Amino acid sequence: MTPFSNINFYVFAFIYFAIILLCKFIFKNKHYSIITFSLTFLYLLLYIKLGISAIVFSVVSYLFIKYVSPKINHRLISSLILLLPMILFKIKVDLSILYFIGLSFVTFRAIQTNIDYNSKNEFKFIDYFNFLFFIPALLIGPLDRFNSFTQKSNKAFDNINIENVESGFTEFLKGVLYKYAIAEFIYRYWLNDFVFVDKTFMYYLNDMYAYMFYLFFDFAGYSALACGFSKMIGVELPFNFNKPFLALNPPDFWQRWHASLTNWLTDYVFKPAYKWLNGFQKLKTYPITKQNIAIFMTLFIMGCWNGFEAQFIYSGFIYAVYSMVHNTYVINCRKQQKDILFGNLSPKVVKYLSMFLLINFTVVALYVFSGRWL
Amino acid sequence: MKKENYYNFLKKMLLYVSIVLGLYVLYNPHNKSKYNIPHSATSFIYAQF
Repeated sequence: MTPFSNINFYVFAFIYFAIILLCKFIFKNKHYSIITFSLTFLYLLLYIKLGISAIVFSVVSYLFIKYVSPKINHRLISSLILLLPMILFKIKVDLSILYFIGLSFVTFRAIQTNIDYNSKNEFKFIDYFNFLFFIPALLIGPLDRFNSFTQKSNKAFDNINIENVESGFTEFLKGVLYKYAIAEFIYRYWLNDFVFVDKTFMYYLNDMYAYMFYLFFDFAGYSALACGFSKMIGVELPFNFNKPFLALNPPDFWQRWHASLTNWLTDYVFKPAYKWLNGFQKLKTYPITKQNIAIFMTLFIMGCWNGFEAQFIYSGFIYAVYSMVHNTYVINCRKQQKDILFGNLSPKVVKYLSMFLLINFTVVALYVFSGRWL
Repeated sequence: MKKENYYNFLKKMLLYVSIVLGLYVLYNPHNKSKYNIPHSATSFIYAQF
């Protein structure tokens, strides 16, 4: 019973919500963590295939972060150890007993906890478990941070009120509309129904746009379901999608499309990579090169994280090239104190032109990502 | 009713009507279209993660 995948999950979600509401009144706004822990534990054990592996992962990674990782001098090494099951999964090593549902995002959360772990702060297993497997966000985020999630979780009962439940429910309904009506409609009648006899330019153009809108509504719909449901049970997750088709440039796009993953990668890949590159004497006088290498590493890793198939590697490469070209352009414009290519146009025209160019570049990158061209 | 409330009310109504109509058209058993096979459970998200 994967989150939001079938009617059984919605029945479960309704019961979950009812139990949380009931406990709010019975326990007078206390013990939220223990209640969530119990419900999540039962959910993993009873409804998730290899849920027991997930529970074992949480225990082992908790002990590792608390007792072993501080003894390993470099957090990168301990994070790579935590990353191992996910890498084995991505390179398709046959160890299916390890590969529980949501492994990728659970690993991201474990790594974030490991990197930010401070022995002076309280680190309870229950909080860690709830953070790893918070049911609405289990499969594909949005990605929160351990400290922020724990704080929100501690105040969750207080946050369950009429306004939050209503706004959460509206968000949830938006997700239903996006995922089950619009994405479904695009999938059935646009992605499949448009029949071109030959694979001409028009065929690819149509397919590219259809896939982009399908992916957006499917993914943004799922995120809205997750955010809406979690708000109803008192925890506000970070947003994931915010009108990505209005983005003006690649960084703006990544702040609007799967934003929680972008922020995660910025903090835990881009910044450490840039810091690491700062250590190279030869690069001291080339700040643009340093930035571009860090951008390339981040976006390339983002592409490869989906898997080591050609489509993901190429799409990561394309995203990286877009961002590097944009970064170089912006820095050169700043140096010359003018917009080199579009300086003569009015700001409004530049804005719409940027949106048009970006959406078309994005369409190509997402189409490569889809693998539909293979 | 304030203008803002009026817009919010309309937005919500539009959301509810779209959901009811959309789900009815796509999932009702009388829809005999050859594409009437719900794919949501096997969409990209579930296939990938």
